[in-house]
Amino acid sequence: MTVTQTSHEPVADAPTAAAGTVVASGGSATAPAPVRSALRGAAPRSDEPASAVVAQHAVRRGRVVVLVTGLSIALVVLAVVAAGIGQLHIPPAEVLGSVLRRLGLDSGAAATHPHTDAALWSIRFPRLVMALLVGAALATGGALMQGVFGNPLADPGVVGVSSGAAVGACTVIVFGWTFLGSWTAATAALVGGLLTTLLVYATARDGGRTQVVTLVLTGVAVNAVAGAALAFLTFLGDTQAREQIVFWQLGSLNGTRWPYVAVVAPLVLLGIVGACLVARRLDLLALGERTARHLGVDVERLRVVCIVLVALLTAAAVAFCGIIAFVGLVVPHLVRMTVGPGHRVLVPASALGGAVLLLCADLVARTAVPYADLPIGMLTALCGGPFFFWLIRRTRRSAGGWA
Amino acid sequence: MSALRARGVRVRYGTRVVVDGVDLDVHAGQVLALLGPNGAGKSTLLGVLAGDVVPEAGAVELDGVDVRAMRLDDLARRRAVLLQENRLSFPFDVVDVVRMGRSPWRGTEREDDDERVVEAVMRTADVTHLAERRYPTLSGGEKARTSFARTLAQEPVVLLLDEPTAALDIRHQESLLSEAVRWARDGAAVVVVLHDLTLAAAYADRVVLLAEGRVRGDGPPHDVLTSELLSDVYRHPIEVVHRPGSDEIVVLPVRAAALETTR
Repeated sequence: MTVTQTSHEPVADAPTAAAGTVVASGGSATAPAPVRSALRGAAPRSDEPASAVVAQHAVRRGRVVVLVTGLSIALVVLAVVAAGIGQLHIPPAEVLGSVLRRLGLDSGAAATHPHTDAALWSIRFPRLVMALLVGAALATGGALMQGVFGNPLADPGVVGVSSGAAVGACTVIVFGWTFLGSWTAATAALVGGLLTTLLVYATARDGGRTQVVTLVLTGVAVNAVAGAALAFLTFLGDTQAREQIVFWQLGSLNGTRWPYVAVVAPLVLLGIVGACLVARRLDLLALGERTARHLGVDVERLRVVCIVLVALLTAAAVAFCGIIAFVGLVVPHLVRMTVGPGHRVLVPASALGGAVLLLCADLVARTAVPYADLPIGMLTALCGGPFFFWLIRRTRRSAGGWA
Repeated sequence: MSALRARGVRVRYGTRVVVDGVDLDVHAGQVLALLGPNGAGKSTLLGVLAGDVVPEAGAVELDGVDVRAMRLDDLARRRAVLLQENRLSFPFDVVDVVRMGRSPWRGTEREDDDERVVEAVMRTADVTHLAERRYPTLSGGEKARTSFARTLAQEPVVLLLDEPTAALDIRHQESLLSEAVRWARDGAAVVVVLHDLTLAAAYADRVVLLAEGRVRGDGPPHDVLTSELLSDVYRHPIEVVHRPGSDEIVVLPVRAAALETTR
């Protein structure tokens, strides 16, 4: 890292130390002047070392490492424990053993119950993987949306993109479409999500920023329209479709099978990779559209890419599991509080955090009430709602939370 | 040699012509101050020079190439812009904001200089002690200085500053403009929009006086900043006095009380 090179540079009496040495040799022929010395009349104070820059770097990196390691460990431990909990209790050692056997390593603990492998591989693991994918998708979608709207309150659920995707998926349920096989619901959700994101984007943005009021009102409007569409679809559908829609709207990972996972996984991975690729430009977008442009960002293209990515992630999450709200709001916010708003860390850390959160939520949904599977969307809203209240109060108090 | 060359620039917002047939040459090594009353078209003209605003007629060339035709990243490695308002959507640390100015150099050899440049420009703008502060917690002047540092971090050959001193105290006003001058002496072309005419007279090599979208004066401060022209353009009696013991000029409005006594 170049950081270390500068750490011991004396500041107080050698303000010109950097001048002259900074001219890059490799720049264009019209390369500008060396970076200037300290200002006249603004002598650097000796008690404020320039290595503050370096210190900030180190502290931040430390926090990032702690957060990412912590989340990763939590993810693995939770996954193993969660896989073992249920009507058929399977100790963690046996869960690991089963996984290792599938990987061809015959070293783990053997199953003590004849149905262990079947329960794990046909019921629990697909559901577990789905929870990870959906959690990661929702949180990444939230982080992206907040970045492109320049507003920490933007969230696919609050803004109504989830509802839009839900309308798409419900249409498939009601009309029994199957023209794209198991991809039908996901595709319809994607179309619905994309249209809604475009609508919200066109309505709520003004001069590159979004006022909270406009954003929330747009969300109210979109949710109202989508709610009406969902009600109409519920009215159209037969009894079975109705029941399916109602439960699906509450959000649940119940009944996840591998083919569903196979549809969702590529979409989510694509979305997360895409989000990581635009992360650096999202940082610059925080300066405002004009300034981002001055720094070389093609703002128009960045916007379009982000809209497609948000729609992709939301659709992937909604297609099979219904509306699971607030994950995209809560997770990026908590990550920002610990490691700052830089998107290069925020995006991947949110994906990880979202996966952990939804894994937890699903575990609670499965086990809180014996022999019942609570709707996970209800749970996340139950916890996310109060968090939202707190967020509103806190940001209202603090200077410069949002504009 | 002119680094920036504007010819016949006209901008219209609705039915109102904001900039009307402006020709402007900005030379490397010079600080050019863009002056004029509110609504004269200064910021719009700066926007055109920056490549943000598409003129209805005319064009701006940077070293012979139309700025609208240049790739955004090429442009970003040559010209930097400091806008009047510098808001930030998320609470980044000051040093991170300054570091953003280095992004055009990503993937080039000059990326290696990033940390050194960032430290140097932060010292220049006197924001080193604010490095770890969150941008939204800064005062207006501190924000302006942070944004100035970010602009310098781009190491531009063309520097466009829109009222950079508006929020600054006297010491930082002086130091910012002397920095702009030094930047020019090292070969950059600097355009700065100012309202303080005395400040412009002290630091600019050349001033361009705009009124109602047209150039009313273009030349060295001593030639353009005259009592007659300024009084006419600003529609307020203005006095230009020479500071005793120097060749500096001071521009002062004639106040109502003074008008009464001379009447």
